[in-house]
Amino acid sequence: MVLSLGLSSYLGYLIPELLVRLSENYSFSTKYYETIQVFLFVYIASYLLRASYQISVNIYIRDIVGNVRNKLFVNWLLNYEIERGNKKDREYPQGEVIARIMSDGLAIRELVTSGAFIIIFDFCFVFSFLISFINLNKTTGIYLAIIEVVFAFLLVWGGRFMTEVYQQMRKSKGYVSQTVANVVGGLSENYFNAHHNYSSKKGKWSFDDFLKKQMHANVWDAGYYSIAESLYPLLLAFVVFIFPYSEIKQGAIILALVELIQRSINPIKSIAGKVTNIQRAATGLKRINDFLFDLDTGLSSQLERQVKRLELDVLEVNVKNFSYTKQDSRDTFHLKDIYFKGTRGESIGIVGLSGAGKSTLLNIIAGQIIPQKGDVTFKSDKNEVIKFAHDGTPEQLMDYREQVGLISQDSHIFSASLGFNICFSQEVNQELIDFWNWITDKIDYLKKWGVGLDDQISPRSLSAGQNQLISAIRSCYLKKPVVLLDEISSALDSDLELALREVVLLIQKNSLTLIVAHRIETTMSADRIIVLDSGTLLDEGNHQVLMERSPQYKEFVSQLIH
Amino acid sequence: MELQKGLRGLLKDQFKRFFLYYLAAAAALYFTHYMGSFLPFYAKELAEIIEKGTESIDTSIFFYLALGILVFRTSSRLLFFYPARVLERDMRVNILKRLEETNPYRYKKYSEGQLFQVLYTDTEQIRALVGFALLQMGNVFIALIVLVPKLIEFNQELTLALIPMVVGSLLFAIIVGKTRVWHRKSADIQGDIQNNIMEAFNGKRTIKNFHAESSFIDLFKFISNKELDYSYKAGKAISVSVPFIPLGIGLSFLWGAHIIHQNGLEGSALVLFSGFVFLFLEPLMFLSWIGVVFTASLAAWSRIDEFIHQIDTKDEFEVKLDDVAIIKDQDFEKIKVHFWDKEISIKYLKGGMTVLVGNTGCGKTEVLTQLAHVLKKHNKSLCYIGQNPYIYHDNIQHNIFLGEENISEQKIEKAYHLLSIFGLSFLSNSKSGLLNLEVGEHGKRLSGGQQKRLSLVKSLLSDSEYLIWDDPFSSIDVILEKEILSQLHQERLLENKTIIMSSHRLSTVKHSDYCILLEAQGGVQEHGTTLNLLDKEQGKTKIYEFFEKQMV
Repeated sequence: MVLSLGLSSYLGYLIPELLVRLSENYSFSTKYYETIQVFLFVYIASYLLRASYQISVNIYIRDIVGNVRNKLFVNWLLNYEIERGNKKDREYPQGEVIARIMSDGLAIRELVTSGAFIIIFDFCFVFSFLISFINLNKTTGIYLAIIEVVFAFLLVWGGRFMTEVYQQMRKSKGYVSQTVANVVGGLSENYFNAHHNYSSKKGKWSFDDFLKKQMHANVWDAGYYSIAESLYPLLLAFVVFIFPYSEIKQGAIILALVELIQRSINPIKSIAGKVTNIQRAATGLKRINDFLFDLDTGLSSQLERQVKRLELDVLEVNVKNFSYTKQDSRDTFHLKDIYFKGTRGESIGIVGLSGAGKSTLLNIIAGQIIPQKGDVTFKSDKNEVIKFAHDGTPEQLMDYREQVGLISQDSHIFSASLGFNICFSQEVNQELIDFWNWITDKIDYLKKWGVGLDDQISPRSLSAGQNQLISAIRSCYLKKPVVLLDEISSALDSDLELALREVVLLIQKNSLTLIVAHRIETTMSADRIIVLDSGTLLDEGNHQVLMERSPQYKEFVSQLIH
Repeated sequence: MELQKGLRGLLKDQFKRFFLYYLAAAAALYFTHYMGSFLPFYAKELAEIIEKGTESIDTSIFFYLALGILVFRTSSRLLFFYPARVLERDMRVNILKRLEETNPYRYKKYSEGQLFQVLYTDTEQIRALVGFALLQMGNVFIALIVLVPKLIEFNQELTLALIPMVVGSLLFAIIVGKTRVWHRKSADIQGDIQNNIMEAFNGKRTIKNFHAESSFIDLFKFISNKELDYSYKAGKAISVSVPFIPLGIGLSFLWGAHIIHQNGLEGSALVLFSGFVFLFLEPLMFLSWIGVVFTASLAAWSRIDEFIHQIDTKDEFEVKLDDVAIIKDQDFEKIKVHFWDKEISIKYLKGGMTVLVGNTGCGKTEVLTQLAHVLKKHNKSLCYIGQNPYIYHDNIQHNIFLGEENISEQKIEKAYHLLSIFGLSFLSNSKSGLLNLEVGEHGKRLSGGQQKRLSLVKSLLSDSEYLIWDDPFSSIDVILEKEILSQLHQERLLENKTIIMSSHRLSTVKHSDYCILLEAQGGVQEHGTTLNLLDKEQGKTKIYEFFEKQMV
């Protein structure tokens, strides 16, 4: 790149002299044609330089865009977006994430496709042209140089005022992207609903806003570009002013002068024309930076860090206080003074009426919510201790989360092969095949269902029960020491229900399982049951004990039975 | 807007619609070039003055020219850009409207990421074609009309010297044209990348929970790099061909120098010709970018075109259901559906609640979908709530009323009442607070059960005659379900509504009027009024046995 720039500057340096020579030798045929020949070489060389410069810029940009895009995706994915009461890490909505990773990154690529990079090339060329012209005629050369620099400076300076307009436009564009991503998901369902054109109305609103902001930006950049174009006559006029003081006597120099003006307008014009692209790229970069900054302020996992999988001895849950005010509500939800322990192989049921705080407690133990006061301590069989608390380090959080698996409504099944959904790796290894054979052997439902590891799963066609079954099998394969299960309250047919219970039993053998129970069978079979009511721990014990002494538990059970 | 008429039809309509804009833009372009065409002559005059060293030149004309160029150039651009941006907006709205009215089976092959690509990126590319490329084509055309006669007027033979310039541009256009396939591939893969981000977004908690980031990152990098590679290939061809334009211009200048010399014109003619070459440079330089935009836009158009064709063509599934009729049978209606390898008839109670019972995977969802299709086909007003209903990133009010406007106070009251019955009013202290509550993307500020209940409220508010609910009370606990159903019955909120749903739960079935037991192998195993089928004294029915087995 640098080489082609250097060579191009050299060619630029040659041209004024050649032009003067051409003009001077107009009456001498041989010399005239010799000059034309030299010109021919210069032009061809210039072609080669431009092409190689463009190609190298292209490679450079491909690498940059690739790296930026990967970095954004990686940082975003590593960020935990963790919740701590009312304080929440900034969560970017889906459309916004796409916009930041894709279009803002592409704004950089636009610099190449719009030819903004060739400015530097042209600039070097013109600069040396100018220097060389100054050699020919000092006064006019320096005068012209000053005027051009002033103009270029004014244009660039004026461009700053566009930044605000551009940022507004990009923001609106981000909103369009968000809206499109949002409505696209609901289209197929809305076909069968009285949708009153929700999607197109919602879309139109954001498109209209964008149109307005975009036109605003266009008025600026169109005017801006035209100012640069009107420089040609202006420069000619300014040159006329200097004539009496310059010592230009030969018309030959005029050819070089006119050529210089023409050639120098192009880069200045490009600066103006591409300023819009550059501004766009700059706002894109700014948005990328903001995005990265927000991601950095939150807790993130570290990709390279190896996390040890431990065997659990005892898990100690001690939530002293977690409070959270719901959006638009004055009521604050509290989870207070919940303390209990669990050991390997134990199954603990968590019951309570809706709103008692079961899911919140589960999310705390899963490491997705950090309580304001209190902690969860994981002690391994070799006496290693991992603490999960609000003042913990990212490493502690990572270590802790590695030990815990969560099966809930939020558990996502990806549209990929079943194998990928279980082991999260593109390659199916022998271990997984063995595991799959082992588990299908144990669970009749899987045989009846007839899915294999290579089958593509389409998440939308799965029932809630099947979804949970796959998530449970996933947890079973990944052998987490602590497994949390938010049981679906959906009624299941007996086969599926049985299959789910069997998988949970398999998990239970080596882990501590905590189950938010919605079924009487699960509740009864738990080793220990924790009864929650409005955020506090009411009682603890097994089914028989609680039936005798806890009226709340009795009430809960009678409602479950009917 | 008639997108099915093809790109040409679209452009024709665009010109008709914005005729005055384009007329004014053409005039503005004409004046811009007309003013510009004086410049080479002034430059030549300048050279002559210097050689003779006598007269002076009036500079004010230069300032007038600058002002004129500024005004006309700016307006020509804006006059082209505005209609194109309007077109972009209208295309997006139009495609969305079509999609709203299109049977989703027709575009089932399109992932959300791909739909996004069509609606967002591809339409923008068409905008670039109509706004930028057409402007520049007009620019080139008018530049030729204005500048060539002026040049011919000066010296006819000199026009020949323009040939290298034109050839350079053509060469450029041809090479760039070849990159179309790479642009298309790159656009296709962009859709995949977007889908990849969407998937990772929706499953982020799961990914993080199982520490599976690296495999998603690898996948992302793989697709992303593939896309970069395609666009690099396109870029390479552009890099090689763009410099043809300055080369052509240089050669034109030299050829012109040769002609001037041969014809024995004055030396100052060189200045004039160099000025002309410069004036051509501007439109031709843009001509090169027209090529890039054209190829990328044609690739985008081919995607839109395929998409429009896809949604205008009936899916096999639709064709199969085309002639299915709704047969009246006293208080009932019957619809034939395809069930595995046979056809079965589903009978449901008009104005009552019918429940389909059967094992998971026996085909209940499929039956419900087909019923929805047939009812929709017969223009019945219906509302279908699937197993995992989609919740919009919007507030509660918009999620239940969707696009409905001018909602009466009475309806708002009813909505609030239904929200209370479904146990959702606790989410906020006040009515307006509740309705304006933002539920987050995919409703993620609500639990799964709350999302489902919200959708049920939506369907009850929709005034639809038919409500189809796929396993509506899954993820709602038995206690709440019982409260909801008895309340709805008590207040006669389900009156005159034909509800067809699926369920696994005895408690749900108990609230229904009519019941059907399905089995994958044998189809309808049993049907009848719920009262009869669950009556123990009538002897053990199959449905009774089905639930008995579950209790164990």
